[in-house]
Amino acid sequence: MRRGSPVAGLALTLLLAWLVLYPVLTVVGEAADRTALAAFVHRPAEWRALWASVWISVASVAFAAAIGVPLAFLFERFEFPARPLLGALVALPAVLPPLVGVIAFLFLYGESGFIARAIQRGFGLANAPWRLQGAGAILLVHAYSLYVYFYLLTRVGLARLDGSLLEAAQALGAGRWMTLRRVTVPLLRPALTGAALLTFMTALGSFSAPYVFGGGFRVMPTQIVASKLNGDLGLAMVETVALAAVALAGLALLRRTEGDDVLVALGKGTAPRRRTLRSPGTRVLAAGAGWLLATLLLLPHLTLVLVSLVPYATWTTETLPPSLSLVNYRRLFGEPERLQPLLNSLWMAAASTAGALALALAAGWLAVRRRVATRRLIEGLLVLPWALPGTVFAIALATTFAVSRPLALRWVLVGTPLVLPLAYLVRNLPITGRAVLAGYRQLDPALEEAAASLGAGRWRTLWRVTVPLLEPALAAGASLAFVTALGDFVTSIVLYTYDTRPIAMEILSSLRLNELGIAAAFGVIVMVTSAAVLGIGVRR
Amino acid sequence: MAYLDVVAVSKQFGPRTAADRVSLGIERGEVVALLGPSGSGKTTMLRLLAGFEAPDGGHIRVDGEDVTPLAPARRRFGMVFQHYALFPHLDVGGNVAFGLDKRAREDKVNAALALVDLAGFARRKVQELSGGQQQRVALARALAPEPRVLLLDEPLSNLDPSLRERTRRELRHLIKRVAITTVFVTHEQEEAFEIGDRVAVLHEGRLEQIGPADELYERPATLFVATFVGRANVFRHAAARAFGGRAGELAVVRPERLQFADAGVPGVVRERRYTGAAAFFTVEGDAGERCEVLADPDAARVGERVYLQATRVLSFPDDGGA
Repeated sequence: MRRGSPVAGLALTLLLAWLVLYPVLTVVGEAADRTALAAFVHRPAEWRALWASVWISVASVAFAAAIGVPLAFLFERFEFPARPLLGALVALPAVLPPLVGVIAFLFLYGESGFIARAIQRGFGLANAPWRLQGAGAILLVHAYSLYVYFYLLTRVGLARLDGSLLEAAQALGAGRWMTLRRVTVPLLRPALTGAALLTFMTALGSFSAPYVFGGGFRVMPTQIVASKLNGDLGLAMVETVALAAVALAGLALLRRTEGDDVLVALGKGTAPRRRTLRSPGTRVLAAGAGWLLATLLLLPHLTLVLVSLVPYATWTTETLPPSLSLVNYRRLFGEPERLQPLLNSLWMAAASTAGALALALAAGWLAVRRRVATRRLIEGLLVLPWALPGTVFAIALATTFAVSRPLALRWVLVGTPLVLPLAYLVRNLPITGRAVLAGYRQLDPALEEAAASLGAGRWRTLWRVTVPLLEPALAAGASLAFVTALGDFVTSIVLYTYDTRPIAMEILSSLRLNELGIAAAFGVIVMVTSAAVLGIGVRR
Repeated sequence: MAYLDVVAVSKQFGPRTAADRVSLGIERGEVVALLGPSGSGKTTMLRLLAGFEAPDGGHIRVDGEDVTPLAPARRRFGMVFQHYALFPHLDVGGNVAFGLDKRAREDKVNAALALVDLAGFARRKVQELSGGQQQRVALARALAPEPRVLLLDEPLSNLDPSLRERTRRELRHLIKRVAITTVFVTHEQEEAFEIGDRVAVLHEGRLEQIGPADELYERPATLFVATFVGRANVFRHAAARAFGGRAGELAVVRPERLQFADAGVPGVVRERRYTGAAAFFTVEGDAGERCEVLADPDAARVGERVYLQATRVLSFPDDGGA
């Protein structure tokens, strides 16, 4: 049991380094190119895009916090009719993959979306009342999809808060505001900075919203993909490194303010009871606001379903589509050309999830249980893909695996069916790694020792004890990873080939061909699959 | 040669010596307690026996077979863990059956459960059981594959104090009925004395002494054993000589071996702790040294001037330390 671990630990460390670190270093190495660097430095457009990435991300954090935190307080601290149901509905944006959410917004709030049409008709305007474009549109999408981080993490933080701490503050004479400011918020700091970190990193790496709504307004990820598609690889690499640098700086900055986890561990008591809203007026108001909000949040989902039922070229100027049918779904499942992307996405998501899960399990075993010498390195490599935007990894893999240099451990994978699953796998490592490592840490090592003392060998122990006990962590990690891969857009656009084109690319080409119904139908399928997979995999 | 033979086993964890050339022989069917304070290396010793740790040096033999290189799964040692380590995803029967092969599995499960008085519990969830029942399931699980040696890690530490005393006796009866060679770890002297045929006292990785309880108590081999096993007053220098110790020696006297007399070492009673049948008196000598005397509750009063005599004195060389 003890022999072999150091060798396995080293092998895993090297494999992870090759998958995760090596491509990034390759890009950094190749970005150190004088002409490309000069081109980057001297073009104002590059600096504008970099600055846009930063301020959009910061603003997204602010908006997401402004929506998510009050909602968390409302649902965790007050009791009102239909609270549990509404509380679950509020987390719904989580099941919309980025590109699917973006097209839902397009159909809903775009210049020819439902809202714009209604207003145009209602006021008899000649043109659409607005164009959904530029920074404002991007921020709207970000605020809608990212407040969930603040909402969920703040709720968890509030639920863990020791109620007696608040009572102690009140007993010492602190009023409600003072208690909030001096006790609750400091205790929530780890949850809040955690949410800020997640939001910042996601917004910084966000590609779908800027790609669809950006117009002339470029952020770094769209700038990188544009350079890559224009064939300006040198510039794309410099841009990639610049974006990676911003991401790491943001990470370092937020980590520093994260504070001490001891703060949370200190409280062991139970959360304060929810305050039941007593006056009938407030109750109706809270419930009404809750339902209004839930409807607002559900509108994109409903829009997607509605548009998916619109046959091609039947909806022109009417406010609501004149005819609805299932023809888009029939075409989607009936035409092999349309079915292919769906099958591609499913198998690639499944394969990458299985791979990421296997690596995470090996990492958990070696880093947590065997405590191999390189355990810190293994954990660092597992989270690295999370610290860098998806575009960075897409470009890194596209660069590293576009040439055949077996001695440098580089093979031609770009253009083969392998590259996308591999890219998804790398992007999924932080998700499965986090889940499995946390699960392993909570697993009493005595259980595995008990199995060994009863005569079970390593594999029997793994199958009969470790895997069954890690099942919740494995299921949660796997379902999140699968959903992420299924909805991926940013990695796919850089690395896909026609034979392995995933759903996201098909949605995009359907949009270009103005086949909105087909695009929406794909969106609905991804949305429903995601919701089902998350519903099965992630239990409380 | 003994049935379970530990020969000069050593284990180092960084700067800490967890086992320092420990040798001990345990006869077939014998129950040995490993007793020591926390950090004494007793749990390490148990894990070395089970195979969860590999010794840096030395050998472990069972019935003449060297098991040192064997993985835990192949040693056929049964182990009961401190927190029982029952598999939460299996029911009671599944836990007990885990170490059994398919042949006659059900009969063996039932037999093992009957042995620990849990017949009919096979389909129960382990989370539904009380602490005492969980402990017995862990015992049944360890015994079911008929191991050569049974290892117990603080088997009673997770039970309510009220339950512990009764469980102690039941555990000893059960082990004796199965007649299995047993090693168990404890930091409680009473537990070691009541369950073990012999008690091995460990201190900083060294085996200080192994022997029956009364031998440890009456004839401790080292000062550590004398003070760790039972209560002891340690006198040094003039006080030691006053109780008949030679120069350069410490005198150790158990509280019940001190008595109030008309003449002897003088002192004043500072405190009296009444325990029912007897009382502990704290006596301060003229040089300021304090000692404890176990006597009749009305043997002296607080503040009274008394004279002490020792009926039995243990002598140890004074190396200036503890």
